Amino acid sequence: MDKYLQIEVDWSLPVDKVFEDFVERILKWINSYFPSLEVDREAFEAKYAGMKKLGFALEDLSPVWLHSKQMADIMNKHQSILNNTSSSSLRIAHRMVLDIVVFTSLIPCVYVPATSAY
Amino acid sequence: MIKFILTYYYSYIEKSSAYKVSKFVSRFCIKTLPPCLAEELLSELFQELSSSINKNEKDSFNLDSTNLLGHIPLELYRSKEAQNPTLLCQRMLHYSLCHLTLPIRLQILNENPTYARMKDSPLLHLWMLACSGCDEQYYLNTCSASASLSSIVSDHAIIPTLVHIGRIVGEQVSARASTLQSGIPAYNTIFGYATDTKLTVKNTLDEFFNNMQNIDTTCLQLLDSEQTNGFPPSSADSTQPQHFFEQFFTRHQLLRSWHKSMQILSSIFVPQNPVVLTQKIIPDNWHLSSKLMTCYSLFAQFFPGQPKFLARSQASRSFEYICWSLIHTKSALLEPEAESGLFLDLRGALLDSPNDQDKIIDTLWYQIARKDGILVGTYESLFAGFWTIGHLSYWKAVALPEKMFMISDPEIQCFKLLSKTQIKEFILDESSCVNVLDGTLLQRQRAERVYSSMNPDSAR
Repeated sequence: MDKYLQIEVDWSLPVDKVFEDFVERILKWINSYFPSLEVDREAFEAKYAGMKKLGFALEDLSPVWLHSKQMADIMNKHQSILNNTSSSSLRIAHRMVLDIVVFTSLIPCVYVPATSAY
Repeated sequence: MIKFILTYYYSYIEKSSAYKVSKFVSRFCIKTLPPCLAEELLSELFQELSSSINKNEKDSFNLDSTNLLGHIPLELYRSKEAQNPTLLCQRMLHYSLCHLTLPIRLQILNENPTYARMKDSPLLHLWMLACSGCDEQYYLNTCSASASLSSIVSDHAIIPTLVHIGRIVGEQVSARASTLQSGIPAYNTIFGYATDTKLTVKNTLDEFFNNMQNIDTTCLQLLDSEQTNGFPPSSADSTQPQHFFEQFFTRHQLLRSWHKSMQILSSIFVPQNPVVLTQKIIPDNWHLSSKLMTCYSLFAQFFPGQPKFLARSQASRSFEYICWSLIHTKSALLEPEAESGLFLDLRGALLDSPNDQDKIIDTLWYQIARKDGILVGTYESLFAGFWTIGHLSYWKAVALPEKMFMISDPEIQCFKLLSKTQIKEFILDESSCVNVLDGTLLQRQRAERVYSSMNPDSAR
């Protein structure tokens, strides 16, 4: 695996499909990399809808690099803990891990060519 | 027509710059965590989880005693609406505070009313977006401060936290200035008397604290108006982008105001020896401004009370002159030991390994991406190379989708976008004197020590 995984946005799709495609690919990546990590698809999409709310002039969505090898190692350890137990605290921890990964990875951008904005 | 003028204008800047640029871009984004910090957060979270499980206290998990995560309110996760966009933005905001040391974080959370109001704003995402991008140096000799400030902005999610740390820096300078004696001239003159140092420092500090107060007040007024007037409720309404951009730039203007105030403050980081700031009279054009102001300064120095020409050549102080490590947990600096000392002599490494040049540039890209950006020292030439001066820029790594370098060169207020080939050529160009370990004097000294220890026989 590369040090960072990039997910590129397919801009050839219609705008409303771009997000669906993007989220789809992130989910696919998470599911393949952490097969046992239960990804709440609905929650994840809702989370991304929050980002989409910022989307207004989403001329460019910076493709992301999902965390480095070190982060992946730590998440694997976290995963093994989650596999062994379930409690409300650990569910919170689980969400925190996802937050940290997602906040590191998903960087919605408004990318304004200098000659048009200023 | 306007587009033509702007295109011509930016192509002029490109020709006058050492960088061969692909594009000029303004990039605004919401960002909270660079990979290097995320690794630490996950590590801390993992340790806390392990210890709870080892003690068989599965439900006693709390983060109060942790160093980086202790301030994250777990209620934000307990809520049934945890995926609500507003709560999502609030959590992003809380994570962004991990960049700050614990005492400063607690101060902001408990004692900053503007932060508390903004945290609950339904337009928090807009505020977060407005607190991004980079800015230019407003004076010819504040490149170092300006690049450092752009690196700091990239760590902060909203403007009130920047104002908060601005005030802390102002108080540090104020404490240093308390021992100043009256009657010492602030700069050298040919004729007449210069302004008193104590008075200059006092006026600069007063103006600085007033500016911070104004930014704070404007933030609160905008927050009030959001409640009164609302905002386009749905981004789905495609008729609103113009209004959105107006609202966005109103908020972003506060960031620029903060930038300028901090640059002015940097002139008195050493109050005993204030730096004379020389206005960059043409925005976005340092080279033309410097030529014009050189002519002006050579002439004006003969007027009573005006600073000598050479008094203007002192660069403004960089951020190592303040106790920065008491405020931030990370800095935009590469470690000299990284990648087995590859960055100690990056140009040399590229020249020595022509077949591995792409690999080396990739490594640089990954290191910058991991740190979220680094400060890089270069040289700028004036008057056909007769005068060279040190310059500081803030480099970021982006993927669009190919890997590129986005450079905040304080000469202009946009980012310069460079391809890997362009950055390689820039580093290989001897006249650029690129040093990725020259963000601060301390970093350079440390790099020199590491270089000497790795190459005992070579003198640098």
